[in-house]
Amino acid sequence: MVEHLFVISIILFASGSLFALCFYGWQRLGNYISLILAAIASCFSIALSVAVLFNGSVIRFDFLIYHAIIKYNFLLDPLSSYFVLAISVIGFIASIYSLGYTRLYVNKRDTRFLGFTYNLFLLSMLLVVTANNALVFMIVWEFMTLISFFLVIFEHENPSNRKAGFVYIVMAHISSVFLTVAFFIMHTYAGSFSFDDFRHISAQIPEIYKNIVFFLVIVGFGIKAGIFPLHLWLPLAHPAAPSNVSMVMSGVMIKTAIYGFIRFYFEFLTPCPPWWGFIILTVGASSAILGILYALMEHDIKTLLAYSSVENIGIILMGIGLSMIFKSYNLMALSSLAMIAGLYHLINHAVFKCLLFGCAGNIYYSTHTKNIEELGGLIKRLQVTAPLFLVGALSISAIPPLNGFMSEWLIFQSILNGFSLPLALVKITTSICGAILALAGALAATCFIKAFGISFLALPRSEHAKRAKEVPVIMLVSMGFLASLCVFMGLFPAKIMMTINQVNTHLLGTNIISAITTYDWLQTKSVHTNFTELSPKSASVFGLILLAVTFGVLTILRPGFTKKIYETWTCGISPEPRFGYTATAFTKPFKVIFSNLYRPRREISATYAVPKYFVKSITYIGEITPIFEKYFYNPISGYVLNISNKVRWVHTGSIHVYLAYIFITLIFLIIFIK
Amino acid sequence: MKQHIIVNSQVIDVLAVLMLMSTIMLIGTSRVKTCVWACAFRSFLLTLTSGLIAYFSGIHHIYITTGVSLVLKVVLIPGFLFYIIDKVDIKKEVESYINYTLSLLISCGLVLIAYYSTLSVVQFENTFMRHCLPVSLAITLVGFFSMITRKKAITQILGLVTMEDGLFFAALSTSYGMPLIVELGVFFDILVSVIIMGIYVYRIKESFDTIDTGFLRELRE
Amino acid sequence: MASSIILPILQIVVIVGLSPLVKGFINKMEARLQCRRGASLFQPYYNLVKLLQKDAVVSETASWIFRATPYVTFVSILLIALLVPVLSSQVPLNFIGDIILIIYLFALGRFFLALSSLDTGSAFGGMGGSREMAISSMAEPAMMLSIFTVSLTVGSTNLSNITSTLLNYKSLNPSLFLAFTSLVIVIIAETGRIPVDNPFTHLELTMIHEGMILEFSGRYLALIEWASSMKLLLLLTILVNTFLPWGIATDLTFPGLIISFALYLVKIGFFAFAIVILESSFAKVRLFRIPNLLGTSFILSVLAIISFYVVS
Repeated sequence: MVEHLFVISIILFASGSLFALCFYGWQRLGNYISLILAAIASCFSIALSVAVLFNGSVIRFDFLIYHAIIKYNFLLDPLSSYFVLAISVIGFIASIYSLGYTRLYVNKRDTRFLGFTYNLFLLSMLLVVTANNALVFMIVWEFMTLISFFLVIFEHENPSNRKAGFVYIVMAHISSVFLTVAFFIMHTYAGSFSFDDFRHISAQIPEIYKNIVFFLVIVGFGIKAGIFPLHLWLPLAHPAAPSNVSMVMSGVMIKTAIYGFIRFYFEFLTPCPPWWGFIILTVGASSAILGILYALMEHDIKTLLAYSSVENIGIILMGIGLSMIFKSYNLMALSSLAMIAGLYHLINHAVFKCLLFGCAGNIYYSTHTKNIEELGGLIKRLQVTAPLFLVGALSISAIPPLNGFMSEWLIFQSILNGFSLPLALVKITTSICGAILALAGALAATCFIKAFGISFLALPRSEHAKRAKEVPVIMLVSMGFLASLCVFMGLFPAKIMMTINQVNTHLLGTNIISAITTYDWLQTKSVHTNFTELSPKSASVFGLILLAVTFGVLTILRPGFTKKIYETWTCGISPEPRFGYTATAFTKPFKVIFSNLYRPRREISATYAVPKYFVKSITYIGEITPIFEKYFYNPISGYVLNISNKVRWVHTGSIHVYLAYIFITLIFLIIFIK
Repeated sequence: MKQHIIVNSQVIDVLAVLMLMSTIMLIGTSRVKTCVWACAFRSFLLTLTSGLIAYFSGIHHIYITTGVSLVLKVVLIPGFLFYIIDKVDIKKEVESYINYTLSLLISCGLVLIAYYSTLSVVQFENTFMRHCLPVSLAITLVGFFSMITRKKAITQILGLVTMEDGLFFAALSTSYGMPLIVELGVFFDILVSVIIMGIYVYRIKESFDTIDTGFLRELRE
Repeated sequence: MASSIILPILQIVVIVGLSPLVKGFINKMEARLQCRRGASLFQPYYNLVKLLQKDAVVSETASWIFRATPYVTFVSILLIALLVPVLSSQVPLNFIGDIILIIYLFALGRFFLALSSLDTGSAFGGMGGSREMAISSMAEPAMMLSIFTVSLTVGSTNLSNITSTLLNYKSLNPSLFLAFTSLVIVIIAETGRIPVDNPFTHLELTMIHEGMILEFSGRYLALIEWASSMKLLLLLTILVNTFLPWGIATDLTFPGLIISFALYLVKIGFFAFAIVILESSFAKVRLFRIPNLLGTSFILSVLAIISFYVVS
């Protein structure tokens, strides 16, 4: 029964993409049908993943083609089905959202192509996390990259989108190269490409090759995940794609790289030495802090959200890294706790990042601008989007009682448990990573106060913002579902943790759920580690009681409380949007505090009228220097271009020379192969 | 008596950490007079520590070094430095070659290095006086660091005094002090060097109108 | 069972009732040190009563966030008051959360205050909001590391456990000294006292917290001012009952509670007086020197963690 669900989902996705191409002329209908098919397929895969997760079983599919010469092996174990669950939930919501969002593109662009690639994109991600064979994995990985490239350059008239797509595909191919080499090394020791064989050979690989594979995997999957310093493509590609695609890319595509990390480090290369987990922990901490520092300085709302994804991937990697460190010292219970924290943050991030990108899409739909500095006052015009964005902003800033707080609390508890580690240096670094996480959380709160405050509050700063209208209901419904999911996942963490525990049981062999969650007499779900207790549901209940009491007392004391409405005091002039704070100004203290990192540059130039005492216009440019681009990427790309220029002489363009190349190669082969 | 030793060692640990805190304050402040107060406070804590060690271990020559240290480092040297600061009429701000945050981070790193390198030495079974050796090394390193990165001669003198404090504390905590003659010699050495530096500072200021020791490089040509 | 209802209510009554008195005490002592007579000790109560009786003037640019913020801030602080051990080291409601929840509940109040400061579209609000967020972000790592030191010493992040374990703690741990100093600097930054922020000024360019709440009036202003004085009292309570918990009641007998309350008043009074001395001796530092001060606090907390790991 369960196997059928998998096949049905694949068929539905494939047919969705084909249907999109069929309806030529009835674009709207074709668009709707393909998206609805995508939504239905996602529902089936949700059912599939839930069935596998709660059964704890492992299901294999082998499609043998050409008499078992090419094997397409797929595997659904609890780890894969956890990722399938994340992909399908986000896919479902994004499909419903796209039903409304693609109205922007109908009759202006080819929505058939969008529907086609979108369905194939979801299908490819599904196949990536279920692939059980290195060849299949690389094929589907490349396929996913290619499809997402087409989605990124969907609006290809804009040259910055084309540049974004180019950077994306180059970096994704670099990651594929690293992964291919890693898989080939594993293949040399396993004898076949099947992941099942990879799982058993870990003891036979010599130490040096294990370390080489470790670094290849970090770079390969790290480029796709967007860790620092390999994150260059993320802030370019995610804003370039249409919003309904960005939410899927940022919500789940980068998580497939985390899937890769877990597969490699917890299944293929166990047991890991502790310094591997240490490197993952520090890489995660540095991505977290640098991602949010660059997000603070951004004024394009989607670039801000993309950098914030870098930060959250860093936080997830901190959880995974801690789990690896604990596992290498054989502290399995603590390893499970850290893994639960990391995976919980993964699904939380998928949910609230999808919500935030959706609300950014709503803003774009109604105002046709993504620049925060041109927005303002939208809370009065987009009256439903504003509270949804607020829920997303509160979740990502880890404000209780929403879901972001739960996962960050769990990561803090794992960090505190780092006390049990033997080495003093590791203990101190773990604590400092905890401090960095606290700083990143506070900076994320500032960043989203800026994003929400400048876009939605105060007076509108441009004509677009003044005339914004609320978006179609279907987009609001889908985002509302995600917002309520955020609240639910924050108030009822025990359910989510029981789901993740299934993954843990399979992966690490420990079942710590009874030590962690207890139900007390109020039926409140608590999280109870050996350090402390936390019960978000009772916190909210008491909060609401206190609110009612306060409100009641104040109303009894003074029943006639009224509010007088008047304009804001702006020193005697009528309030104008120019009086309000801008996004640049809001984060200026950080620009000054971290000026060593940002290297802000200021340029003021004036043009004068003929007599030099009258200024015609003044131009002010203030920007931060992108030091990673300048000192890391540009030299590397310059070096590569240099080398390719030198090798250019090989391409002479003459047919005779090419034939001569082929002839010489043939002679060599004949001599040396015999 | 065991209880006594335990409490005694814990008090000395606490005093050691307070000394480290006041040395960090030496890096963490931006006014010259506050630097001098921080050094005076640290020397006072050091005399307290040596007095306690002398009392509980019964070695009497430590009392002499305590007295000398009290007079010299808590009263005379800070008093002299305050006199010089007022007489020479310099800008009351600490000027350094690297910026504030970086110097704080580097001094934190130096403390980490001190703890890390003495970790293998300090791993005895009991937890008494575990802090003394790392703290003394840290104080010496931080003093040296402040000598390297500070521009004003006054702050370099303070760095020198800090280094000497650190070495004295190291000797005190591990081997109950060096032979009396050596310690008295070191003390008078310090006193003389401070007095000479003070006089030179005054003279340099009169001749060149600045006591930024970086400018002394111009004498090379 | 009855005690688990009475004690939280008692805690809330003490915190809500005592916080304006603490503020009044600080103002009065400061005036005395400046050779003035100063306002009455109970002046903050009179202010609150006056404000609660007034209507509010709300800007027409402001939205529902502006009107909801005072309640959110007030209720989040009240929730914290339920969790902190004030009179007794056994807080019956400690299953709700621990110190990390408390830190993030403060962040909840601050989030909404910063949003409401941007809401009215005036420049003062934005200025206050951006500065407040910058200072509190810089204070977070130091606070977190000091809390880590304390929880690692005790083995739990739950405040009741911390208080009861440190009550019986017989050794002088130098890492606790360093954590204490670091937390004092962080508390000064979070509550906006000199040398970080001047609570008495109303000049636009020098205010941080006052700038954020400039547009509130009437009942809203009363709730926000009360919340900020409760925040000061709660942070002092956490400091006092964590590092100096002697005398706190361990069971719920009536004489034990009375003694505990009297000692609590003495300790809070002592710290309030220390704040007064600090405020009168130092000048407010420049805005961009505040990260330096908080950097020093961070270094102290890192040293606390290092020295803790050496001892254990």
